[in-house]
Amino acid sequence: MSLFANKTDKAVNEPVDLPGGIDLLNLTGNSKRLALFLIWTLLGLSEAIRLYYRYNIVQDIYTWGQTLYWGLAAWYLWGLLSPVIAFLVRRITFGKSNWVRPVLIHLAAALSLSLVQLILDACVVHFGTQYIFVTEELLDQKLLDLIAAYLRFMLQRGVLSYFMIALVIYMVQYYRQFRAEERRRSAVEKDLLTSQLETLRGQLQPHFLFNTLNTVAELIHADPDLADQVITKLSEMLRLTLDTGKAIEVPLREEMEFIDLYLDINEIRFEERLQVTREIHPETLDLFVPTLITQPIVENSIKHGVSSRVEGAKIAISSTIKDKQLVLRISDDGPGLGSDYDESTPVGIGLKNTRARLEQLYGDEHSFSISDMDGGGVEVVIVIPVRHAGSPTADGDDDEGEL
Amino acid sequence: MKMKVLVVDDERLARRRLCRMLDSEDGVDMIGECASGQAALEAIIQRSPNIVFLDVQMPQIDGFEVIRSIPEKKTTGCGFCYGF
Repeated sequence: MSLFANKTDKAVNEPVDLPGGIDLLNLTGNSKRLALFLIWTLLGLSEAIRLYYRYNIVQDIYTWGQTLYWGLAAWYLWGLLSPVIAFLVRRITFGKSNWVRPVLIHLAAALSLSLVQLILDACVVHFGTQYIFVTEELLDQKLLDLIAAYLRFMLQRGVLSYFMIALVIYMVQYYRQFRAEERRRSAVEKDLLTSQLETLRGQLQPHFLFNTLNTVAELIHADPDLADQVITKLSEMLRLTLDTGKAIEVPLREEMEFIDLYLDINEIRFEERLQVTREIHPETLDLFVPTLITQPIVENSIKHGVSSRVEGAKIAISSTIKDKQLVLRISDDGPGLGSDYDESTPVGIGLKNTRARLEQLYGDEHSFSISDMDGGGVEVVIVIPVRHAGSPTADGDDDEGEL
Repeated sequence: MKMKVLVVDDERLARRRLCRMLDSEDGVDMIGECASGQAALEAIIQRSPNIVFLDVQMPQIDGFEVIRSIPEKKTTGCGFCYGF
């Protein structure tokens, strides 16, 4: 039915970065380089502060210039070496059974990289300040001992730095995989929801159009004004369909606007055999509901309440908020479900899609019931969480823009 | 000879539309219209139409039930007006 063709928006299913949403871990190009530079600078600064206060307790031995030089030099060198660590992290994966080998490789890499860093650091420090950094404890020892102890001390720190950097890279990598998986899953879920909605629209439009156009064809002769009304309402429905596009959820106001038009047209079609009463609480109008959630239920009521009885049926639609939940109630005074009702009867199949969509969108947070009423007729009750416009997941794009 | 045609549909507007269409055809003699399966059966027995345009979904006696209930000696052709 091209008449009701939905707005085709190619971008709809692609992840869209919200404006202002900065994901530090997905930065690219210059901004990524700048962020990394800032991180290494911060580490260098903290090291400088540590050195300054650690060795200037009794009297001022080192100047801020010196400690800054040492601190920044040490961490910028690690910054330069970090791509090597990142490369190793990407290559070495931990399995459940083989963790010894990866750990050994990392340990070897840590030792050798620390040594490289230490040598480079010594060169830089010597070149810049003519002073190789030694602690007071080390100065008390003999020269060879001193060199050995110095090496051991610095290597320990180097290895620690290496593993710290590697750990952070592993975490970033894990986080990225997690996000990618999450994004993929939400895309799949969204696809499923969209396809269920498409199915629903596909079922609704052809036979509804067919019946409506037949009604109009008769009314053109019998009651042109009424024919005019039906066509106007039909075009209004078409406009709403185009506006809504592929939205999975819409405010109840829009849903009711659509269902009102649908019912109005049916009221004209069935004349006095269909009567509809509505009790929509004003507070519920801005709450989100799944698009077209009430349509199949109303359609069922019409089908079984009106088409099967000469005297027709009364349909009542109401919405309220109860215990912070939105309660939608649709009832008719038709013949009821009958004792043989289950999921495999036509009514059951028609409502299966509705049930699946609610499950998909709200999980345990919803309830859906269909039952015979005491005085005759069927009552369908849908309870879903209260969610206002702008709340998360209202448009399915909530997985963007953190950090 | 004109064909005697009966139209059966519980929806008045749909029924009127079909009657209007058929009425404008030469060779068609509209002998009546019915709003229910029960009325359709009575009309078929009393007025012996050549063709019945029959709605499927109707209250109480539906289209299939009407066909099953037509007495055997009647030679009426029935066509379903099927609108999904």
